[in-house]
Amino acid sequence: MAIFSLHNVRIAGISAIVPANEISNRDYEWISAQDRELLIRTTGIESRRMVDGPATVSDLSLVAAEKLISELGWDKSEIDLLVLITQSPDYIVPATSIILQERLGLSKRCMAFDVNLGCSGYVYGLSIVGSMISSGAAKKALMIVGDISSKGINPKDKSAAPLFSDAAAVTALEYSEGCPPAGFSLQSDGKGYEAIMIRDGGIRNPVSEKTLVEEEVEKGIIRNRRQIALNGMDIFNFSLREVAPNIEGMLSAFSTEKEEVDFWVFHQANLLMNETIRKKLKLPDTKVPYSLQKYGNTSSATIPVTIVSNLREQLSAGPAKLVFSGFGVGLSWGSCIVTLENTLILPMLEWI
Amino acid sequence: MKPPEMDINEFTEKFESLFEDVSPRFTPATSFKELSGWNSLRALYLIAMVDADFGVSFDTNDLRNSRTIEDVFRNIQNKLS
Repeated sequence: MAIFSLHNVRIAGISAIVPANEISNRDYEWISAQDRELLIRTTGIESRRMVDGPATVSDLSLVAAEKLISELGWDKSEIDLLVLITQSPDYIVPATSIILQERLGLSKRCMAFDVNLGCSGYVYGLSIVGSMISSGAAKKALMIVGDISSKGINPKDKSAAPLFSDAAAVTALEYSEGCPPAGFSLQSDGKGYEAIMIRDGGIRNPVSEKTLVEEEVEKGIIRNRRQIALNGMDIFNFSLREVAPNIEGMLSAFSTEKEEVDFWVFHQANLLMNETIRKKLKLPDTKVPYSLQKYGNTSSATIPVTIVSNLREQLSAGPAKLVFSGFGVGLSWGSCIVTLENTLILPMLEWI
Repeated sequence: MKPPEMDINEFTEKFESLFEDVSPRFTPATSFKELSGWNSLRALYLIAMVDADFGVSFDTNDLRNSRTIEDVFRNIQNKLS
């Protein structure tokens, strides 16, 4: 388990953007009305957002980044690091972050690269960007997370279609001497690499004539090999087994009592899973916000989407200690404890 | 966490509580996967219940190898022993 702390890194601002196009799971007619009720009750997901048209993750990110830079009053020439965490890049090659560097009008001195992570991506991203700021490699950075998951899912796959939602979020980080340290605990387990997977389109399984052929995997689950395949039971078991001990280990490494934490922001996977984890950790429900009812599982963007959607007012009251925890595809998981103080949190933006 | 002392009848009642409409009542011999209300989401409730009440994982293989409620109960007891 990699446990470490970062110093002199401040989260200056957060923005998030979702498509205006809202899809209700009550209209998901691929399954029976009875199954639909059980699905909504179990996952907690009432509605999702899907881009309506050809939009990509860089299109959404561009709007959220421009708005955040302007509201923070940052000078674009000072931004020396841009990291995009996504599993739905604009192209396979080159990295989408580099396209964004140009579209945002950032300087050529700006470092830009992509990271291929999903559900754990926000926590990993904070650690990567935070490390580069802490080391002095960068002074001001944008960390962007997000996926256009809807483009990689078959609507006839009941195990995935009603869960995932599109979004992007931008976090602005900067060097700030003496701000409270952030603590991290990051883990991975490649034994579970098939639990969430897109099989074709890489070098292992190049696109072939079989790639786009739809297969009925089981009743209600039809997909092709270029679409996401999710093993819900394996992911569920993994999350129940690993998330709570990871968080307990992180808190104990940084001598933090649970009572000191103001809010716990978890990856929004599904309500049954998250609530089982919350009860295992014995956390009060008032400190564990959910945005999945409205925005579903937005992959690496769930944590900032939840902050923007549920905690804007509370976080404006003064400094607050937050624990973030992300877990899923990889398998990859991690948690961190951060202090937010005077962090600019913009209202939810919509992609029209 | 110390697992609760639970006998097969109490476990069957617990299992029953994962479903909304139970008719006829479940017995330890009930082949749960043949019930109309059984599906992959119900399996998640079972996993969550086993995790919360016994502190053990019940995975895809365990489910495949269980036909009746008693099979599930014995599987859990084996994990605990």
